[in-house]
Amino acid sequence: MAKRIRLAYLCSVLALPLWAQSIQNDSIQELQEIILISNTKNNTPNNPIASIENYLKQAKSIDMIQRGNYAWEPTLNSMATERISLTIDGMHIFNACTDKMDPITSYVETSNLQQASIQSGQQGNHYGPTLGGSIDLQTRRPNFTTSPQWEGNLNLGYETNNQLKTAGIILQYTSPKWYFQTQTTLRDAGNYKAGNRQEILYSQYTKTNASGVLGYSISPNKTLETQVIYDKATDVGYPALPMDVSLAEALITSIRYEVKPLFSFIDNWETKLYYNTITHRMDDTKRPPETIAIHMDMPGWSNTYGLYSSIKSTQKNHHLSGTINSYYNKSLAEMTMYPNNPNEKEMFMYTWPDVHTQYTGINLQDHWEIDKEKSLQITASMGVHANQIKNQIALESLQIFYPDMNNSKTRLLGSAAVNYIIKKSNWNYGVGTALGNRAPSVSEGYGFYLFNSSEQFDYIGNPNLKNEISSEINAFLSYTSPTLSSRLSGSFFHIQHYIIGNIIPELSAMTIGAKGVKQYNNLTYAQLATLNWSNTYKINNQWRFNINIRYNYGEDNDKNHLPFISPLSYGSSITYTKNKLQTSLELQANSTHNSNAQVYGEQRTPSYAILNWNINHSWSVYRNTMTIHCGVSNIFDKYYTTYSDWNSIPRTGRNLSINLQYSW
Amino acid sequence: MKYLKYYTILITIVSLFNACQSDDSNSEKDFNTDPVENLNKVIETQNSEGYNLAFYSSEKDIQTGSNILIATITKNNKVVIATDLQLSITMYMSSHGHNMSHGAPVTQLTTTKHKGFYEGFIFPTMASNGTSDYWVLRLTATVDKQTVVFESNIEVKQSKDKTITSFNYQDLNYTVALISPKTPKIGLNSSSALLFTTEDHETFKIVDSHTIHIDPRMPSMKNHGSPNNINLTQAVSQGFYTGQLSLTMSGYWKINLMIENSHGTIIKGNPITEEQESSDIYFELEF
Repeated sequence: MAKRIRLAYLCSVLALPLWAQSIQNDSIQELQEIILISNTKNNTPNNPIASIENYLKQAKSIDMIQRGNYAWEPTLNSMATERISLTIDGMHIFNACTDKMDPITSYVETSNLQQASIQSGQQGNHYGPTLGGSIDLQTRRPNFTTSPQWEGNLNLGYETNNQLKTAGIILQYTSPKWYFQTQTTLRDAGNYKAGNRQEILYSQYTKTNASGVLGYSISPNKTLETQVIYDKATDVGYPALPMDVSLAEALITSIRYEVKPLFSFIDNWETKLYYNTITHRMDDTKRPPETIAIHMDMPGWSNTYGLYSSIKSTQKNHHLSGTINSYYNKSLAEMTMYPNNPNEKEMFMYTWPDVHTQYTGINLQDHWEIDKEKSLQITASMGVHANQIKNQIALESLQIFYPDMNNSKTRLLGSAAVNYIIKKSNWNYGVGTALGNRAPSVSEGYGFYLFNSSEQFDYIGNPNLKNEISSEINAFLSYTSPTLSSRLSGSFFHIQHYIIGNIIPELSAMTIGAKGVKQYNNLTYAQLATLNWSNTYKINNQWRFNINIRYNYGEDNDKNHLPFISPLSYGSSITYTKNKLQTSLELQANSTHNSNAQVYGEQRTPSYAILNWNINHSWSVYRNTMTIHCGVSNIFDKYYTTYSDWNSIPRTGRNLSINLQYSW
Repeated sequence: MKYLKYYTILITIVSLFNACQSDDSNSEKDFNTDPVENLNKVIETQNSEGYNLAFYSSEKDIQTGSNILIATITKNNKVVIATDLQLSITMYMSSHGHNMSHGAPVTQLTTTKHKGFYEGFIFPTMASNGTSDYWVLRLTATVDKQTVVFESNIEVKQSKDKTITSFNYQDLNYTVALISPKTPKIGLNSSSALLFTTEDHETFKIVDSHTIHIDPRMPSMKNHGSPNNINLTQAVSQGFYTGQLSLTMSGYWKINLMIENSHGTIIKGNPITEEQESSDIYFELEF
């Protein structure tokens, strides 16, 4: 991988806050964005105190919907969980919370991860259907070494704003036959304070993450590897929501077998079997009783079994890959409400009706280097997606709305994408087009009175939804010289049968205080577009200047704005690097969100700009390394909220952070 | 995978086949076995001629609201065939200081597929109270070409849920009783009820051609309502009113009622609004 990334340093890199780097190389890699989370040199996390979300949001087309200070929901090209493919090492994991309080990014830690690989649109269909693209979180794993060796990393961090305390340890053993790595990270945070020192109640969290990976070299070209990740978050506050979380627990396991090369014509054959289980419990017992209309328990479970097998081969100037991918997911969620009158029986319903989803698909890719200048990237995939409701009571409750509905539904999914890329000295440019579809998510298809606290509506799923079909065109133009890098890129999506909630006036809300009920339905179409321009200017060996600007657009077929579409956003940074010292000052800003989706209950948010500063330095201590990271974010303690803050919850005010790392 | 599919189909076919078979043998069995085998004997009385009358129910006791009963007359432990069955129930009250009495609706006993076993409903409107307020059940029948009369005091318990209610309209007294669902489920429940009227509080007639509007609500959930109900109407004259009752979750439900006559006039009940959270007649269900 490291070899292939031939540092056509796109400068977005440098613009990025924190210490992550985004690297892009030419040709095939032009279509991919990599966010480095761990330092490849010494295999240690760049800045373990930063959350995974803080790393991801540096990607050009990723935004985060925030419901508090924990478990932000990533969006890619303005599309959230149900429209993008989110995987961990190619493994499908599905959140267990009906209210999207646990995007799967919340079940890993920065110190688990090597990097995040982001692909826009249908180019991201490698592990399954997507419209907006894919985010694959790739975990850190050691390599075999010629002689046995031990390595380790200890880190401690503190943030002043919410008294976040982090501690982590990584231990690693590598040898010619074996490698082993274990990691534990603890995080504990109190309430954060928005600008003007305003405390945001119920924003605390505690999280433990532990992982282990064990690799065995069967023969020089065959590796067997097993991996376990365990993540447990407790006492997590969601200030933007009416409920908190008492437990979010995940166990993620896999066995991987890799052969490279196999015979003379297969570069790499990788097969993985995996299983993961998630338990999620919402909790309202910590809130003041007078704010709780009715006490309720809302647990959810998601279990996924899966496998993929992928072959890569190079035939002359064709780089081919073929992947078979299959998973089986069970999603169940229920709600029990306790009436204020103790003589009444408790009230119970299934909010996710034990939906079993099976997907099996095949994906083929050819990266054809036509000549030194021109290349063509072609991907195609096809799969069968089947939902089945296994719980009879839950099925019958949905039949209130759909008396004729069956307990199962099978859909055929497919996608194809073509990108044509030209390199000419300092210039790279390319155009692409794609077509793909996706099946409705469990909530969209089968949700039962799922409360959206931002819109104040209960949502009813719709098993009769049509697949969303996305037609996409994209293009980029980049210029790279030793001093200046500039890249302009954009995508346009025309999504037929766009799935969104419509108010059904005759239905009566279930949630106390809700305005009414919405049912998921297909719009005729919706259109989304995103345009990015990022530039890095290398002033000299020490100084780099970066500026980027992004525009997003999203409208339905009646010219109504869609929700969660970013207003014009821009950022700039200046970075100074000398020896092992690096410091940068960063500006981050949004214009006023005037194109708020009024029809969908979205509020206008004002413009904002904040300044962040950070510095890091490392020393050699004997043969080991000591690194210190310090930073101040939101230096002027600005009180602000953005379009992607649930219920306009304000973001963190001034925050000082310090992190110490010792690696041996 | 492919084989698995065929295997599943095969299993399904085999089990369907089995199901059919067992159905057949069941219905055959029905004629041979005791029709009250799994039922509770809730009433038993003997008359002076030595005839024995027994009523059976799937419940342990008789409760206010609808009770479906199976009746059989025996003599010397042998089931006898009865015709011209006339059933009535009467409440005798003395707890308020003066003696008074009134009847309650019943449906007349009809034959079942088992010879000598008859089926009908009684709808006691209130619970009995020891020896001061009590129900008397009367049955007259023609048995062995002679008329026999049975009388029995019966104990009626207050049902957990309110499933029977009465009201007056234009000098007539109406009673509406919920028959099903007895054990409601989350989802769409087929629902049935009967509407009676009386002039003298003794003889009750089934009222035809009305409509029973239902609006299920959860008072504990700010009057959350459940959609896609079908109001109860009659398919045949003197028959049950049937419709569909939707319940989105378990818990306590108030089934608000409106009774509409054949001219389209609402004779009792009111629609549910923000201000008016309950109709003045309703059933209750809690599960």
